[in-house]
Amino acid sequence: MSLEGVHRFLTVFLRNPAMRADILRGVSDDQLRSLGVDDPELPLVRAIDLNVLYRSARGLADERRGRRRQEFTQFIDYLEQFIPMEPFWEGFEQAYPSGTLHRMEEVRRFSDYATRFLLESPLPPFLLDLMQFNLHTTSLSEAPRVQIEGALDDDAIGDMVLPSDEIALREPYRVVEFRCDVIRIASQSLSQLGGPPPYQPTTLFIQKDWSQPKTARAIPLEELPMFRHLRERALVHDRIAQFDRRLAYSLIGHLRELAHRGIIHVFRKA
Amino acid sequence: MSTTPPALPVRGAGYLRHFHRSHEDYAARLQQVGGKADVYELLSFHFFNEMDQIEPFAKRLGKPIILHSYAYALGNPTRPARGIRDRLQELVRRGGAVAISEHICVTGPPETYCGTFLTPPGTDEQTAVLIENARLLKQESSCPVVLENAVQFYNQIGPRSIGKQMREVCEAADVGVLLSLSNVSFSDPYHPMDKEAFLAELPLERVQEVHYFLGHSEEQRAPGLEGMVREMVWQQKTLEALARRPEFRPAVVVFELDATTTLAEPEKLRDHMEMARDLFFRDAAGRGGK
Repeated sequence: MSLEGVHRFLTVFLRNPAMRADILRGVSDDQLRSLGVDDPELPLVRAIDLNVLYRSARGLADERRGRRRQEFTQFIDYLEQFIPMEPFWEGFEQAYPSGTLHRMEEVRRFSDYATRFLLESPLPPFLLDLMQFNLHTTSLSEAPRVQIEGALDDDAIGDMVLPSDEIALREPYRVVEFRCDVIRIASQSLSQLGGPPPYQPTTLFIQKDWSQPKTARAIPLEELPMFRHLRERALVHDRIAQFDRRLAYSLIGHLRELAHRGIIHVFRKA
Repeated sequence: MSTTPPALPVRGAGYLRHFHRSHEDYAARLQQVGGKADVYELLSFHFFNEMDQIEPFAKRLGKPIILHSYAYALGNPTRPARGIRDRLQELVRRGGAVAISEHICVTGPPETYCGTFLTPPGTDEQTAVLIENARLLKQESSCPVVLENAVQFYNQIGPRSIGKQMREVCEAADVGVLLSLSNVSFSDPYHPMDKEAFLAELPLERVQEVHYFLGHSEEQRAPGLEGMVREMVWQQKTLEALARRPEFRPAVVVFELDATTTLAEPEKLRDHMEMARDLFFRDAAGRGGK
C-alpha cells in the first residue's frame, strides 16, 4: 500500500476548490483512483468525514489569505473598498491549488495573479502600483543581507565619517518607478485621499532594512541626492570631490546620517 | 524500551520568539513590565533565507534557544530533501540550539503540498514512516529532539489516535515529546479531540516541552471567541493537573503569543511564565526560577 494516495486526496481536498466541490457532490472509486488513491487505500479515504475536512479546508484557506494580507496589506486594504473580495480570493486559490514550502514562491504567485486580475478589470491603475510596492517591500524584507567583508558594524562607525573611509550602499536594494505617490497612498485611507490618487510619477529607493528583522524601507530617490555616486564602493574623499567644494561639509554630514540610518556601509582603515 | 529520552540541557519558561520587527517591540515592552524568558524557541524557516542572522540574533537574546522546524516533514513517505535537512542542522550549529522541535505531521506530496502540518493517518504504514524519519532526524542532529502533536484536522482513520501514534513514534525513535496544549485546543473548530483520552495515551514521562497559547485579552472578549476563552481555561487547569503527576516534568514551557491578531499583553506573558516556574521550576524554598 502506498501512503501517498491518502495524502494526495487530503491535500487536493484541502487546497483545490473545484476538486473539493466535485468530491462533495459524490466521487466514484474510479475517480479516486485517478487521484492516485490505490485500492487498499479506498476504505481509508471513504472513512474520512468530509464535513470535518471541509471545515479544515475553510480554516486553512483563511490562514492562507491572512498570510497574503500580511504581505500585501495596503493593496488588499484598498482593493476591498472597490470589489467584493470572495471571488478574488477564490480565483487565487483555484489558480494555485498546490502549495509550496517557499514563502517567496507564494508571494510571486499572488503578485502574478493580482496583476492579471487588475489588468483585466476596470479598477483604478494606482492599485497595480500599490501591489507592486508591497511586492518589492516584501521581497526585500525577506532577501538576505549582502555581507561585505570589512564593513563596520553600526556601533563601530562612531560620530564621524572620515574622508579616508570607503562607502557603498548596503544591498539588497532596488530603485523602482511608480505612477503615483505610493508612500502617501500606503499611509492613508481612500477617504483621506478623497478618491483615486492622481498620476504623479515617483521613484523610490527600496532597501532591506538591516536594523530590523524582516523589514524593508522605502525612500523617495530625491532624498538621496548622492545615490548614483554611492552605487560603487569608493573613498569618501573621491565622492566629495565630485561636488562643489562649498558643499563638502554638508555632504560629510549627509553621509554620516546615511551611515547611521544603515543605508550605506562604511569601511575604515585600521 | 527506554523511558528516558536524552534530556534537554535547559530548564525554564519562555516564548516562541519570531525573527520579526513586531517581536522586537514586544520584547522591549516585556522587559519594561519585568518579564524575562529563560529560553526562546525560534522558527527555523525565518532564517532559511538569512542563515547568517541566527548567530547574532541568538547571541543578542542571551538565553538558550530551541529551533522549531518542519524541515523533516516526518509523515511524508519520501525522504525529506537533503538540502533542507542540512540547512536545519547548520542553523542548529550556528545558533547553538539546545534542541530541535519538529512536528508529527504530513505536508503532502511535493506537487500538492497542503499548506499546513496535517494530521497523519493512524495506519501501520504511516506510523512506520514517522518512526523511520524521526530516527533519521535524531541520527542527524547534534542536539536532542522533541516531537509535537498536530492539530486534528479530520477524524481518526486507521487504528491509532494522535496520542497512541505519538507514543509509538517517540518511544521507537527514543525522542522526547512536545505536548502542544495549543494544538489540542486548536483542533476544536475542526475535529474536537477527546482531550482526556489523548493525555491518557501520551507517555507523560517523555514530555520535555509544553506549548501553551496566549491571546490578547481584549480581542478574546470579541463575540465568537468564547471557545478560545474556554480553551485557555482548559489549558491552565490541565497544566496544573499535570504538574501534580510526578512523572510529568517538562524541561521547558513555551508560550505562543499569536492566538489573536494582537499579541498577548506582555504582562500576561510575564505572569504565565511565573506560573510555569511555580509549577515546574522552583523548589520548595522558591529557588530555581528566574
